[in-house]
Amino acid sequence: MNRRQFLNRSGVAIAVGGLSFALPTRLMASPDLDPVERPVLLVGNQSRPSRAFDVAFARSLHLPSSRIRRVAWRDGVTPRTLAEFIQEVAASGLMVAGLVQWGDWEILQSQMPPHVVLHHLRHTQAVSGTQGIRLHSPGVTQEGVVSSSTRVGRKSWAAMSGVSAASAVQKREPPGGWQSESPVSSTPYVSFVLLT
Amino acid sequence: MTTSTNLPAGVSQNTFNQAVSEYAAIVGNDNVFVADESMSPYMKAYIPVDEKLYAPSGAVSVSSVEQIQEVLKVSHKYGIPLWPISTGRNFGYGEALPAVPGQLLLDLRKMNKIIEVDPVLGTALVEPGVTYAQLHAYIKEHNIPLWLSVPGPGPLVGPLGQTLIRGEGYTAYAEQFSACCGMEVVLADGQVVRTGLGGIEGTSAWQTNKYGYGPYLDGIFSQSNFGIVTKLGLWLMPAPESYEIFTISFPLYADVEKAVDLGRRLKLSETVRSPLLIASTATGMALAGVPRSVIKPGPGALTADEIQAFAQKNHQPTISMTAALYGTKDQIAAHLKFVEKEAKAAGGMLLHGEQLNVLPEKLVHHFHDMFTGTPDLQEFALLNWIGGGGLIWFAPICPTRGSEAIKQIDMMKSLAAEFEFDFIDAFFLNGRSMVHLFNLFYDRSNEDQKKRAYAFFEKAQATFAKAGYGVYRSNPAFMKKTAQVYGSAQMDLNRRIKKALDPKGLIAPGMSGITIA
Repeated sequence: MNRRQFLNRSGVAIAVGGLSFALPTRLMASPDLDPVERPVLLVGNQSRPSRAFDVAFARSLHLPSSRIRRVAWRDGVTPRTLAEFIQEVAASGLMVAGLVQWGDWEILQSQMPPHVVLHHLRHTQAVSGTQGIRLHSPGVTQEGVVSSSTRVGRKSWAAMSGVSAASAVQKREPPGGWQSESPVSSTPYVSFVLLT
Repeated sequence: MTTSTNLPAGVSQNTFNQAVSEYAAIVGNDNVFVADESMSPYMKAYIPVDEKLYAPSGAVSVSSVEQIQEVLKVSHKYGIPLWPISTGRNFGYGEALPAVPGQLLLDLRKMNKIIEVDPVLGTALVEPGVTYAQLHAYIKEHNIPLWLSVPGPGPLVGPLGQTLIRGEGYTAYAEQFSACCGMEVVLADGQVVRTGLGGIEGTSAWQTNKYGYGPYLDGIFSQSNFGIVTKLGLWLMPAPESYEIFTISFPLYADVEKAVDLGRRLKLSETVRSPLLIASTATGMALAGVPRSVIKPGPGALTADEIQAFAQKNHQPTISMTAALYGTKDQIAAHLKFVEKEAKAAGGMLLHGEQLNVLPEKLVHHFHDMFTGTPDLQEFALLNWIGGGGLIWFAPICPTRGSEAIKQIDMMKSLAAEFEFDFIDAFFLNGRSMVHLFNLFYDRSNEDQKKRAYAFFEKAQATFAKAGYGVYRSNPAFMKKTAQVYGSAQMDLNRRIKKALDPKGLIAPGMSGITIA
């Protein structure tokens, strides 16, 4: 089953099961969504919104800190940090999330190998908001919602965590408020989640 | 078999599936991409159209000339057109998207060997997937005293694509195609041709002489679809003993006229061997990653007048012209003296050395990188200007005359005001002509902005054409219209060459508006 088929079936499930958009809460109440123990990389640039996103995302994962690693690109992505990042995500199974500037987002997005999917916040919202993916342990069927594989489960999970974290940041940091620190944090941001 | 959402014209799903299985037999299943998800890395578009309108049917990633030849055979058999990409990062001009939807991307990124770098003659021979980051690392690692000429997106793109698209770098070898010397090309029928002296078996001269004997062929493979270039020879700049970056600043926007005339004198006299970048303080700030809200926090397009008012209020120059001097220390000292005298006579102020520290730190760092051929990622900071991931470059060619620069600025001002876009432009002066680069920033998720951006490009192209100007590069949504600006005779000649070399029109139909029909 590919992503489109999965989402279509999830859409059917919405109609049938009447799933709500209150999924981030549900997500946070289900810490054992993905039994696969793989590391999580949180990227940011040390700006306040970026740090807030990291905290919110990490909290939503309910993971021990030993499984979360952080990188902070204070001056944005450089050729060196990009090379390190690409090498790191080349390891299948790594989950990456972060809140970065548009320019950095474009760089990261352009460098992903075909097996990696990168969602920015708007796409993530579209996936979670309109399709209402319900999250389960991989392979578990419940109330007509199918999570067909570990990979799909992880994507849904990360998408929801991303929405949850970004929404927490947005509440705390209205757009005007983001223009508060150095030039690093006074530019438009996007959040993203990435899965391999 | 996973289905493609965008089949080539006239090809059924069953036929396509059969072809895909044959491509997979050549390159392996892992190197054929059809499903939506695996295609997403290829689907990025900065251009103001729905990328699905230009979506390829899939992608096949090849590792050798032999695989390309085999892939071509399958394409011939089933009538599936191929859109070759080297790194696929044609930023601001459509990235990897084909000009006609449904083509299968022929991804050459795995062909990434640096075949040779000659430190004595300053030449290199590279494959399509070699990036500037890779070549730069190689040169450093082997301590070779040569410089690259890298474009804005630096490390992510490569010399082959950049040369074929006739892009610009920043050093004395800035005009990329001028530094091209010899190509290996796979034609549509699978024949492999090496241009220039490359036709002679065992030659050691292929990358030393551009022409060899007979018609000069390299040119017809740039911005074209006459073949698939699989090797490129290029010349690299010998690292000078020393270099000096300088900026000449002017108080008014109208001083672009003086800057251009001064820049022309400096360039044509060969005092300055690098290109000269003429830009407003707003363009410089955008390049440094400063958001537009610093100049204009409120809504409405940022105008040239507002940029000048901001500069004057903050005791900054409105216009700056930046370039580099190369040579021995004595040569540079002498040239700098001449530049200072000329700048003063033109009403500009020269800044160099530590005086450049008055500029944003990131900008100064970027200039040092670019003018010494060191790839960096700073130009992506432009995308922080308003966010939203939309950027296209409208880039007409302008003769290097101050009066014509002003004429183009006035035309551009009027268009920017009509379509309500910020006025962020720059001139890239590299001899007798300049590229006038208008950065059209918009939010791709905002349908109104997207429509206006498309309308801007369409009207700008028509307006400039009417005044006798054409752009030097285009994007998939406008390639045909751009070709029409250059006239039906050129289009017809290109069509005849295309039909002779690729009678089925299988290689990149629509590239630069060239088709067989």
